[in-house]
Amino acid sequence: MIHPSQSRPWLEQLLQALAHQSGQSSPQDLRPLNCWPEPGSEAWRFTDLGCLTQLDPSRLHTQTAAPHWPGAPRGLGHLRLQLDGHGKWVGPHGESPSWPHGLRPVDPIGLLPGQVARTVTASGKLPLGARLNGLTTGPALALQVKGPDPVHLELAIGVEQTQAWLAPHLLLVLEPGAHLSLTLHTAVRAQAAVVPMVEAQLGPGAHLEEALLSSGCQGATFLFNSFIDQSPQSVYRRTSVSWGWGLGREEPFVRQSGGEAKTHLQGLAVARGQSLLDTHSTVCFDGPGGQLEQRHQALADDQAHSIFNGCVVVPRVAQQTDASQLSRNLLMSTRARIDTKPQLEIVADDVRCTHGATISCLQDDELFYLQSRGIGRDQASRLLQRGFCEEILQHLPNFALGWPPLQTLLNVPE
Amino acid sequence: MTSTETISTETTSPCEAPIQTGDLLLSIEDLHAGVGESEILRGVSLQIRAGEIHALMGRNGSGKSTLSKVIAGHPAYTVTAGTIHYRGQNLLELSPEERACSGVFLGFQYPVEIPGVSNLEFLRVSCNARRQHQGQEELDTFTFEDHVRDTMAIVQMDPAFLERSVNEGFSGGEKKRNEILQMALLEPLVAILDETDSGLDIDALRIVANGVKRLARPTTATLLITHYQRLLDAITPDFVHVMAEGRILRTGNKDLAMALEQRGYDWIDETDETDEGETPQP
Amino acid sequence: MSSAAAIEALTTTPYRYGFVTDIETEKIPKGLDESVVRLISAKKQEPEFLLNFRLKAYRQWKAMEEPNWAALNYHPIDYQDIVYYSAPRQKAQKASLDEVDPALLETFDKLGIPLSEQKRLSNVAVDAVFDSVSIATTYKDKLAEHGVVFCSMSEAVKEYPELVERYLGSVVPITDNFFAALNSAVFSDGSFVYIPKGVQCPMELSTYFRINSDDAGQFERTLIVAEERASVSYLEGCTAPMFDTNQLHAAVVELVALDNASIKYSTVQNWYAGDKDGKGGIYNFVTKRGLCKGTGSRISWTQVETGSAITWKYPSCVLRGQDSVGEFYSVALTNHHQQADTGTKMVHIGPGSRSTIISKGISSGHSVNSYRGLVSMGPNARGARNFSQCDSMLIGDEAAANTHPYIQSRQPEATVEHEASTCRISEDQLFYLQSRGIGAEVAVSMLVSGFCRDVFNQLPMEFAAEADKLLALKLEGSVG
Repeated sequence: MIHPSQSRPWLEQLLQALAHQSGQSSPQDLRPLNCWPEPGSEAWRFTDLGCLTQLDPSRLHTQTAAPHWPGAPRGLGHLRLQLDGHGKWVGPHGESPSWPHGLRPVDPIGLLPGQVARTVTASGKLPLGARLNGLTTGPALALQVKGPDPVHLELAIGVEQTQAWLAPHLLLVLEPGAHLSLTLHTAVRAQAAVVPMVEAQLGPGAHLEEALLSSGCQGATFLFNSFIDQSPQSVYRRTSVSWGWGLGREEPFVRQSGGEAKTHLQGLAVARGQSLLDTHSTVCFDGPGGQLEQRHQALADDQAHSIFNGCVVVPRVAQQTDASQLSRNLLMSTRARIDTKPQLEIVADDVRCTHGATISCLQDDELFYLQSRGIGRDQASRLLQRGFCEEILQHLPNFALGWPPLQTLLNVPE
Repeated sequence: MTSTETISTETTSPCEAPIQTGDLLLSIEDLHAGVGESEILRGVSLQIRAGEIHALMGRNGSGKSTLSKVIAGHPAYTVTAGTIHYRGQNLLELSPEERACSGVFLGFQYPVEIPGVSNLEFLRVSCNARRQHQGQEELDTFTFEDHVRDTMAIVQMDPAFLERSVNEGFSGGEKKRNEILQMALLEPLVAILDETDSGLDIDALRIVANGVKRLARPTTATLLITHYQRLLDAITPDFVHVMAEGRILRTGNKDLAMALEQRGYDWIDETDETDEGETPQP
Repeated sequence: MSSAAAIEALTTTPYRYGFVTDIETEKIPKGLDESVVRLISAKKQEPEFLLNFRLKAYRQWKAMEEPNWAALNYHPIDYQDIVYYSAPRQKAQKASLDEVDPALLETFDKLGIPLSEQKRLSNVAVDAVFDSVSIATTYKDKLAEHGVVFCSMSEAVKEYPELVERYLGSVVPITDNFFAALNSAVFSDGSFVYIPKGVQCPMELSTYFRINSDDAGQFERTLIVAEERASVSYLEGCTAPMFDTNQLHAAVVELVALDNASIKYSTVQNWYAGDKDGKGGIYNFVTKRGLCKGTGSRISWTQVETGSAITWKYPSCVLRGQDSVGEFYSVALTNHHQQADTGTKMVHIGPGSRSTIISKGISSGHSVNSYRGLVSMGPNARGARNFSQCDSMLIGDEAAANTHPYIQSRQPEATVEHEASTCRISEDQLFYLQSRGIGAEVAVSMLVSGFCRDVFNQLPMEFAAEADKLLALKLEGSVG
């Protein structure tokens, strides 16, 4: 593992480069150095940052490639945006966005970047990915969603050149009763880093549905932080699928600030080759009657490593909370590794909280059942692995399923 | 509207006096009760005397189960007005266990499962609590086990159920038999059976009905809460009450139950609820 | 009575074992340095290997830091304000129980552990430890007939130095953790058990630990070795007087099971927990670990934890032998301001090894009750299996229940299953029992006991009743 002290010079170089990018001669502030995990830090105990530190800070750029869009654009109330090479979100033909009814950009000054994140984490200290995002003058979108009509926003990021460094920041303000479905496609096919950050404020009765599909390759780093602040009666539904990354880490942090809201988190991480995929989720209930349904499925094959850490915090004010969390893991190779840690922290007596975790290989009786129907063992194994993925993929909206890179996930290697 | 209310000024003698057939056991007057803000019982009055079998019928949500739970003292319900007297004593002042010990029994519609607590142990502690209250000697483990095995025969229950946790993994019918077994062991004066017949097949229904009949005495009373006629075919009630919207709308004899079976509950709604002529005084 | 009122009544029971025995003791001055370590060793006339063991541990300990990952909240411990050796003054050699100070015999009588010939328990051999030393061990002769060694650690060092040297520190290395290092440097006494090849120990063995001084720490060391095909069931009990100050208890227990051997280790822990405002009580920092060294060996931990202000304890199994079995059954009940951070580690190394974890935590008052566990499947643990079930029951809305399971696997043909749930006493279950005439306090106690049933079933017969009684004492208040 890369020891933090070894990476300190690298981090200083990175900060210089980011400061330079934003037109400053030197980083204003060296405090960001503190964001690097301490040795022995619990949150990074199993996660090696080596993939990130292999980037050369002096060569970073923001070049993007044309993304793979699934099928034809949709109709009304639907907007597609992709990152151009200059840190701007533009339409599929480079045009400026024509905002659909109910969706409009807002002046981000009203809500400073990082403000929602600090409210949600209830501490000034943001995780590494969010800090790096904040240090990059990156493509920012601040959007307000209004009105009862559902709005679809599809964002895509494509990277094919090495040393790209993209840190898009997305701020979403959902007014009471608003309904947004957001799809974020990220496909990276070079040694590069994408460090997105989403901050979302859900007003009472608002719905946010996210489909997050992230496909990487060896040498590529993905650090994705989301901070979701849910008002009562709001619904947050997140389906996240991640594969291929040298280092992929997702950290959704959800706070039900008045309870009485619903949170659904579905995650699939498929780690093959040398991949390291990590999910650290936190859900806090700050009021009564909140609901959480979480299911995280991970598969580790070859020499890959999968990590899950799911924390559910139910303080005294959160009576009648109903939270369930399940971590299911398939370990397919003797050189692969899985670490999982579901956690419950509860100080309220009238709650229903459960969690479960399993790690195993494919079940022999399932394999045997397929074999007894004439299917070869290898094919049966591929079918079952695919079925394992489908359990999460079925929660994706249909149009997201047509995303071309998704096929690489579903075609289980022979 | 308190049209079905029967005003009773009779005061029953204290508990210790021996009970005669016809003594007033349970007297409910203008009872209002609910959960939180919502009122479910809106003025129930009902009198039950020794030797009587009452049937309480009505649609789902009419308040039948609520009435039974209020009588048993379920903490989720608040009584906002009215009284319940049991043998002259104010029942509402008593804790659930005091009500049970003094002879009021509720057979639950959905008996709860209690993992880890052995059925035998539960029955023994419960039976001894009632015995102690009655000034009887508590039964030791061995005597009680003999007693409970004998009693189980009434409901044709396999003694293997004694070794299991309370109601855990019991089928619907087994749970109901376990309820009747408890009734047999506790020897209540007023037994309220909340939909004891629901979900039972013909054989189980017959076993349960026989159990109830065998346990009925001239000095005890039974209140059967049911949806259907079929339990009443096996046990003939002296009085049939029809409940709707938290009140007893009508009281009659077994013919009322027959009429309901044929004409449905709508028939009650259509008839004038203030028509006192059709309401015999129990 | 509502459940809240019942619980309130239940949780105000006084601690029954809080008395102090007035007895003349020999204490060394407070504080710890190398000379104190040498002094302890000299007082016990120890062989050189043991003095070296202690000195090495002391030097390591000085360089270590107190662990803080358990997020326990307590006053910093001043390690120089503790007496590291305290013993009741008595004749050096006690030929028989008759020579034991009657005040001590009376103390153990009061604790329900009679030691004298006439009154002693009929099928349990007891080693009674008072502050730093072992007072008496019953049934030694009868056990000796079977070749079973059951004696104090001090005696074992003299009589069986080669066994002690071979196994001491072989499961919990002196540098394992801060408290284990401290114990290795200053441990005073404890129990030693050796079961020879093929012997089924004919009776239950038990050690009863009593802290009596308000300024002495207790650092006992227990070592149990079961040779091939041997088996033993061992129980540990503990109490302490009520003081306003906190006393440190930092024990180390090591178990070694060779081929097809089986060790069952049960604990009923009832150290003084402090008063209802959290004043006083024992700080219990204990390292317990068993090594399933041989093929088909089996180690089972059962613990009922009701006492201590702070509990930091993770009885673990290292499953090295092929097809070895590790078990952990735990009930932890916390009340008032108690904090318990307890759980287990199941380290699967050998193929076909199996482990089961059943943990039941009950937190009431302002207490914090955490399960912390590790299940690790090593690269060679082919066909290994683990099943864990961690349930918490919360009583009142100011108590905390946390669950932190670490699950790791590097072996595809190993299976890990973990389940956890949190509940409270169900109003419906309580009402059901009440509606059958059972009083609220008894009903709550029955429900808690039912919640713990899976664990109580694992206790040896002789102690299952004791555990039930203890739980009832902690919970039941006036109802007996």
